[in-house]
Amino acid sequence: MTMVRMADGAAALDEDAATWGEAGRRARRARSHADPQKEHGRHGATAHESRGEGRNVNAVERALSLAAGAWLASMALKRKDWSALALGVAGGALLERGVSGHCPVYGALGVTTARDERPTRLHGAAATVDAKKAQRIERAMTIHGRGADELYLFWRRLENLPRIFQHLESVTEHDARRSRWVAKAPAGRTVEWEAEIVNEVPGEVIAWKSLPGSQVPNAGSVNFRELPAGRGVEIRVVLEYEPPAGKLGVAVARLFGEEPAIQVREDLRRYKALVEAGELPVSEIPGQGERARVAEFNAQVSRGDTGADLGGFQERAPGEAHEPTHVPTPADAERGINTSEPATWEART
Amino acid sequence: MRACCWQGVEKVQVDRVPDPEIINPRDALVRITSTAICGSDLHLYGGKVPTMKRGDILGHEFMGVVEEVGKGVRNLRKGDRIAVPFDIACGNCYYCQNDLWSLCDNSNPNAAALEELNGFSSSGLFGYSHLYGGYAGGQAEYVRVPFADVGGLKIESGIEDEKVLFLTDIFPTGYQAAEQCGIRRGDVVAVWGAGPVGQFAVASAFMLGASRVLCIDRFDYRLAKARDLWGAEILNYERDTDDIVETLKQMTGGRGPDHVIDAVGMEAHGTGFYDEYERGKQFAKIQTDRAAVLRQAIQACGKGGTVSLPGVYTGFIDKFPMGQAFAKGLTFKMGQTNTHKYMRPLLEKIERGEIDPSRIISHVVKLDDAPRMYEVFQEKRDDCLKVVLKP
Ligand SMILES: NC(=O)c1ccc[n+]([C@@H]2O[C@H](COP(=O)([O-])OP(=O)(O)OC[C@H]3O[C@@H](n4cnc5c(N)ncnc54)[C@H](O)[C@@H]3O)[C@@H](O)[C@H]2O)c1
Ligand SMILES: [Zn+2]
Ligand SMILES: [Zn+2]
Repeated sequence: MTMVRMADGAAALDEDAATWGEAGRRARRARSHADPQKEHGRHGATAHESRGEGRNVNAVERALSLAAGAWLASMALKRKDWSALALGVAGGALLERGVSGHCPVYGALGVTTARDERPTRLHGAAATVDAKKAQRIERAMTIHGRGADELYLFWRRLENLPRIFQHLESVTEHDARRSRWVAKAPAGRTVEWEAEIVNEVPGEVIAWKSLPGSQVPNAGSVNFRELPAGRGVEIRVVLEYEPPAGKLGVAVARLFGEEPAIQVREDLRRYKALVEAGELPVSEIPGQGERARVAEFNAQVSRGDTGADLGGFQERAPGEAHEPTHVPTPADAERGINTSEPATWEART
Repeated sequence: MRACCWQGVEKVQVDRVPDPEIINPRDALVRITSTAICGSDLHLYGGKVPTMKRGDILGHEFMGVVEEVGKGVRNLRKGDRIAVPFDIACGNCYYCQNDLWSLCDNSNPNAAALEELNGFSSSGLFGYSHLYGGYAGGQAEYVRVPFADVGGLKIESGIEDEKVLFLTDIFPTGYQAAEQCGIRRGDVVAVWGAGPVGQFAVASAFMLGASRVLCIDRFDYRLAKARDLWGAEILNYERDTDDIVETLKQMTGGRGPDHVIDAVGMEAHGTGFYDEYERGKQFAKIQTDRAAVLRQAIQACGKGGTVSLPGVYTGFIDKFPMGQAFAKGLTFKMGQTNTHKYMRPLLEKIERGEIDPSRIISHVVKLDDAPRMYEVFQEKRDDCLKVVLKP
């Protein structure tokens, strides 16, 4: 517990350390992921479960921590009042982080800034994903024209997720917490696991993890943040999985493709296009080899159920109002476009 | 159908290709009645834009008659006559909603590739490489128009094609170039390039209140148009001056033009050693864009002025006079045109008879003549200023 408090202090004091230039920017970025007040216990379930020991602080930040830690410690030695104690404690935490390359806060919150080093998360006895083997995918995007609550509802119905993520075949919800996930594997095979929701704040966050005994231990979360002045909703998706060893491991690697992060990025891009524009952009020049196949694939996706599926938005609970979200612009009016009508995806059913 | 296809550097060909068809709900299928060759097509023709593939259909300035609409299109129907903006935009994303149509988030199927190159993707464009979506262009008999419900501008009067065709690109492009200068009454504006874009930039600068517009090029027949059609003061940089920056300064009482417009872009023609040096670097891929005009424009621009770039740049340039720009407190505005924003108001100007864009047309020919006209337009032969193709 002492450890955690110290760590929080360190994160808060990063603010001061962070005011100096490039390293500061990195620290700020890291902190924006790990806002202790907001995010504590939000992303994963495991803030209390375990504390990481691996390295999750990158080299620049380590140097910064060392410098800032030393500075704070020296300030503490100079000051004579009670704040010296606080500074000393915080300085000590930064020093520890700089020396060990591990930040207790980041470890506990499942956030790593050590991009080129091993991701650290959820290790120890109660861990879902073995940090030493974990693959981590993180992607943020902004969606315009929909409220956080509405987007949240769509994601909270986990059964909708296969409409977003192409490698998922199905998610079946047993009850409010537990669900069964089936992912596509090569050669028509599948990989399955049970998962549970470990954290949810309506309109803000959903986090889930696989239950012990899964072939592919994994965890994920999605955060929603409504921006001021109608600027849309920021969505941040974090997925972690631990590729199993052996044959299955090879299959899983192929399942996610060479570049799982790219696959997720493109899944989310399609999702955004479907939500905002109501359809996927598709180009065509007919009859040209590879080109034609891509066009054909896109055309199928676009003509087929995927777009209409996102009418999943219409499947909101009865009584829940649908605010018209296409904000009419003067240009719309000028062009004679009737913006009070629902956007096109609703017309596809 | 027949379509003008890119076959390699300086090689285009009119080929038989399969007809397009409706794919998405918001598509329209359009039978093209008029289409044009744009200065931007010359960048493709010259092989300056990456990710062109053999057989890609060219053309992004076109209009025609709606043949069929997808089930999501409710404001158009078969038989409507429409002009179509060259940028493809969804109408719903943040950028579209803020009139930044060419920055649309959702219209480029190859957004990932463009994001790789530029850090962010922008809208899809008709017939303008796979980075911009790989959409088939409009130098053809038919074209599929995605997001036709927000793009297609209905032309309801019987006004002829030639007068409204340029609403799809170069008129809005010239207009945006002038508009983003924030011209105030009495301002002097200098425009590099007396091509189609330069012509409309000159005309628009006057419309927006400029007292004088100076136009710079080396082709007298083009300069003469800028003078005779719109009233520009003209400057042939090969004959009238050997220091364009100084000459412009002297023409403006030592102040320099209040705003400058580069309607030339990355293939600026240069003279002397420096040009050879730049071509060499462009060839060796050390520098992708030749920036003679941009540098001159920055140097000539008066204090507190605007440097407006309708001319296209795609990569890197060096020897960018940043210190001068900073010292003079310049503003830079640039980008693909947000065509949708300008189509309706400019159509109204045309219908009111305030401007007749067809006056810049030098050639009206059959689609089949496209390959020859690409050559003529590129080499500025035969007093070629603007080519309209009839499928
Ligand atoms: N931003 C947009 O959305 C948009 C739209 C259309 C066109 N464009 C671009 O605008 C530019 C012009 O298009 P255009 O159709 O008028 O092409 P164009 O090739 O017909 O005209 C270019 C003119 O620039 C002149 N020029 C070349 N070097 C010069 C120099 N050093 N100084 C002065 N003039 C010089 C040429 O002689 C020519 O007359 C192109 O780069 C084109 O890609 C941009
Ligand atoms: Zn153009
Ligand atoms: Zn858009």
